[in-house]
Amino acid sequence: MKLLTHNFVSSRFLKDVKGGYPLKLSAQKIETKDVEFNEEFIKNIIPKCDFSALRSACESINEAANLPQTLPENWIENEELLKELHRLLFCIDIIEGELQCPDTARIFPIKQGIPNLLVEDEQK
Amino acid sequence: MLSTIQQIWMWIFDRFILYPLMRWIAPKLGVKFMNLGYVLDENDQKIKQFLERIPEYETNGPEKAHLNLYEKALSLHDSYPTFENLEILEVSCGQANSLKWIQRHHGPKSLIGCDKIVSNSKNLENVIYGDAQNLPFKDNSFDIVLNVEASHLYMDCAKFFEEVHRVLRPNGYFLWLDLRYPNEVEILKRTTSRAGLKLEILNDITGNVICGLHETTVKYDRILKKSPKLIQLLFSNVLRTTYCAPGTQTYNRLVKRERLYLAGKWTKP
Repeated sequence: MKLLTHNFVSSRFLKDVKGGYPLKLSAQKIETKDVEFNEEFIKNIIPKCDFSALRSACESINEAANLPQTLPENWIENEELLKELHRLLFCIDIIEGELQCPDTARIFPIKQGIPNLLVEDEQK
Repeated sequence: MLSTIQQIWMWIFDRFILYPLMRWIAPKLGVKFMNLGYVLDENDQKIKQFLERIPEYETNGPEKAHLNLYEKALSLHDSYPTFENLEILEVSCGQANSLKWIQRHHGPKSLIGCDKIVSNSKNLENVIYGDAQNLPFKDNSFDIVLNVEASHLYMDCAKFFEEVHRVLRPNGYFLWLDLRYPNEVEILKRTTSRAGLKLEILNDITGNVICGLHETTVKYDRILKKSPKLIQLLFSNVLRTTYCAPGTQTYNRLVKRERLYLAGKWTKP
């Protein structure tokens, strides 16, 4: 699971959960892959990303060292930051780990890179 | 009476036996897609022109009809064939081969697939196990939600449409292809409208799909003949009925338009 995917995932489908976002991430196995940097691509995607959710995911896997607390106003001109955002969103792949609902603490496993957000009927 | 029993058996077989089973064994049998297929006609010039530029398309042989069906769904969107700046969710992505095709040739910024069962799951970075009626995504996340030949199997389709509306961004599009009985068309329009989706296009593509399944049936029949004798003995008829092989009751229903194959586009205002 890439961190870009994590940015979309929510547990709001759980019974009585209104927020369910962002899911807390923990990882036991991470792989890093080379993905070609496309500046326009990353410039287009950042405005649609939830930066604070990305930042918290990066913190939880110790990858936030080069990421500012908030997205600076001039981010679009900062090539170094764009490359770092590209690395974080597209190159890091969570192979084994867990996602946790921030409201109920329910755990969703990540196995072989695929998060499992299926629950039994009575929990929906 | 016999027909009713047969319909109930098919309903149970599709939902609880065939699809869960096929998701696991399809890759081993060489089945990459599980849809009836589509043959392009003179109204699909936009798709034809696009596919002519893709050498890989011609190498797909019998899979072409399956890919055509995806192209038909995507072509309903005004940005077709390029989705570079859009974020797409495919609900019920099956083996995720459609995701690989779309990512390679339509270049969306982000593409996520969601399904209850994903076979052949190695090396998939953008797939999530999730329920179509309880989509595990935050509100207003996607520019396009794609759903191909799956929703007739959902227990609560109205809930699915509500979820589609929730995860779509304003002005996002829901591109949908599926089977419906003629008396279900009004229900489809009503439930999508109640979910807040605004219908823009709803086309009957049954004729093209019938042509498509003439191509896909040849492949499925070949696979069936190679399967263990016990499978052939027990499931040959019901499998051929599921993939609407010519001569079966499901095929005849399509020919008589007692069942329709529809292509729809809705927007979230």
